[in-house]
Parts: sequence; structure tokens; C-alpha cells
Amino acid sequence: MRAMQLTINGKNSNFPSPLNLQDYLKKQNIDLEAIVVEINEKIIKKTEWPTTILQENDVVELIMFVGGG
Amino acid sequence: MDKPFIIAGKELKGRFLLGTGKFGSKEILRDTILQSGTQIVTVALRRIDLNLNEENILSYIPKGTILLTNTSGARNAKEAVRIARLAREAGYGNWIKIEVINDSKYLLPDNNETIKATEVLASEGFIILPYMHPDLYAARALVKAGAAAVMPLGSLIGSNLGLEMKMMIKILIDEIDEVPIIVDAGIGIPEHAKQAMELGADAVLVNTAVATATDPVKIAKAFAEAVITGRNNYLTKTADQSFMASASSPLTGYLHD
Repeated sequence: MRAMQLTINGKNSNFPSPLNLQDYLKKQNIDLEAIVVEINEKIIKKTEWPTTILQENDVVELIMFVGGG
Repeated sequence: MDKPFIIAGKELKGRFLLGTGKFGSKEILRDTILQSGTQIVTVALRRIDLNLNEENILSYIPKGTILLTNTSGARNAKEAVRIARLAREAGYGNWIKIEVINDSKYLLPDNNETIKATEVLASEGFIILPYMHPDLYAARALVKAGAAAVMPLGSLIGSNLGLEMKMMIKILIDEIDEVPIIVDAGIGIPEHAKQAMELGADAVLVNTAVATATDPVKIAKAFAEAVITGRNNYLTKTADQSFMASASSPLTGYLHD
């Protein structure tokens, strides 16, 4: 297993490679019900999470609903 | 008898829309939505803070409430389109309040970019309610682009100043028949909401004035009632304003003449 760098919500970190998106998300302390994932500005549909493998230098955005006017 | 309030073919019960920002707690937000009877609430999208373990706001919004996701944070049409597509992917509908702002002092909406974003998103099947500066040409362009409603600002966001744009909003109300006019931003007290409805607006959207009140539930109910009163006044209005006097008593003669 080697390390790769990912940018997740603006923060650079090292992760073991390969890393599956669904596995990564499940390890986070977040409600997966109402989130949206974007990788390199492309939306990753929920049905694609299990088959999406994160790649070196991917820019990942994890988005949720918040209060707003 | 009032005509039904319809946006994009959906008949709505109330004419009071609520923003969900700035509430002290999600429980208060939930109670405010329930007690005010609002059927449409705005929400926003943000990056998740992975260290915070934030609760999902949607679990506090009663089922059946229409989520109107705003594109806050968008500085141009492209960014607004991106946010709208993200919102739809989340699976909570396709109602979008386009909000394109690149002036951080006045938070005024950029009508040109808003029109561009409306064109793109309406063609993709979104239901678009654009927040806009009340300009007749822009409103017409938004309708042409496929907007489902037009939402002119009453005054600056969060200013609580009321209908500073009254004259221009009235022009939109008089000239735009195709879609509802919803006064958004600056409504600070129930009286302002009433005035907007008396002017002939189809609905109002309030956030700051409710969320930052000492008792949001109580004030939200007052806003909802003011909207109904204002609407009724509008529907029953018989008296036109004039700059000339019009006698309400007979003017001819004196007593028995």
C-alpha cells in the first residue's frame, strides 16, 4: 500500500492507496443521507460511490445542507 | 375569493416563505416552520466541516416542506449553476433560489449573471426562483429565460429596512403577469410584509427578522398573519391614492341649500 495526496474540502492530506470513496465516507462522522460529493468538479452520484476509487491529487468536495436565506 | 397561489404548477397554501439561516437552534427552526405554517423554506449548501459532526438540518425540516436551495456563495452564473446541480444531486428536489452576489458590502444581486444562470438551469428542468434587483427589463429577461417566479429585494439583505424599493417592485407587480412576484430581503417587521402584500406581491420571504428575534416562533406567526391581512387588504382595496382631494361629503351648498 502506498500513500497518495488528496485535497478534501480544501485540506491536503495523505491517504493510503487504493481508497474507495464509499469506504472513506463511511469512516467519517457524517450523516451520508443528505450529502453530495464532487471530485474534480464532477458530481459523483450516490450509486457511483461504491465503485469510485480516489486517485492521487483528486480534489474532493463534500457538501451538506445548512441554514440559509 | 382569492386566486390560487401557484409556482411552477404547484398550488401553495401560504404566501409566507421562510429562510432558515441564523436560527439559534435547529429545534427553534423546526418549531418556527411548524407554527408559521410556511410551506417553502430556503436552505444553503456548504462544505462539511469534518471535525464538527454537524447535524443534518434537513432532519429538522418537516416532511412535505418544499426545499428551496439557494446558490449563496456564487459570484457568477457558472458558480450558481454548479451549486444548483449539487443541490439536485442531493435528492431533495429541484427548486433553486438563484442568488449571484459579488459585492460584499451591499450583497446586491447581479441581475446579468442571474439571468444567465436562469437560462441554463431552466433548460435543465430546474424550478428557478431568482433573487433580483427590481428592474423591469431584468424581470422580463428572467421570465423569458424560464424563471418560475421573480424575487425582487425589498431592501438590502439583513437590513430590516422594509420596502425601500417599493416603486420599482410595484412596477414589476403591474407589468409581470406570467409568474408570481415574491418580495425577498429587507422585510424587517410584520408591517413590512403587510405592505408588500398590499402592494400586490404574491408572497414574501423573510429570514433575518424571524431568526434573530427573541421569539422566532411568535414573530413568524405574526409575519404569516400580516401576509394574510395584507393580501386581504389588497384584494378588497377600493380606495385609490390620489394627490388631489376627493370629497367624501356633499360639497354643494350649506346645510339646506
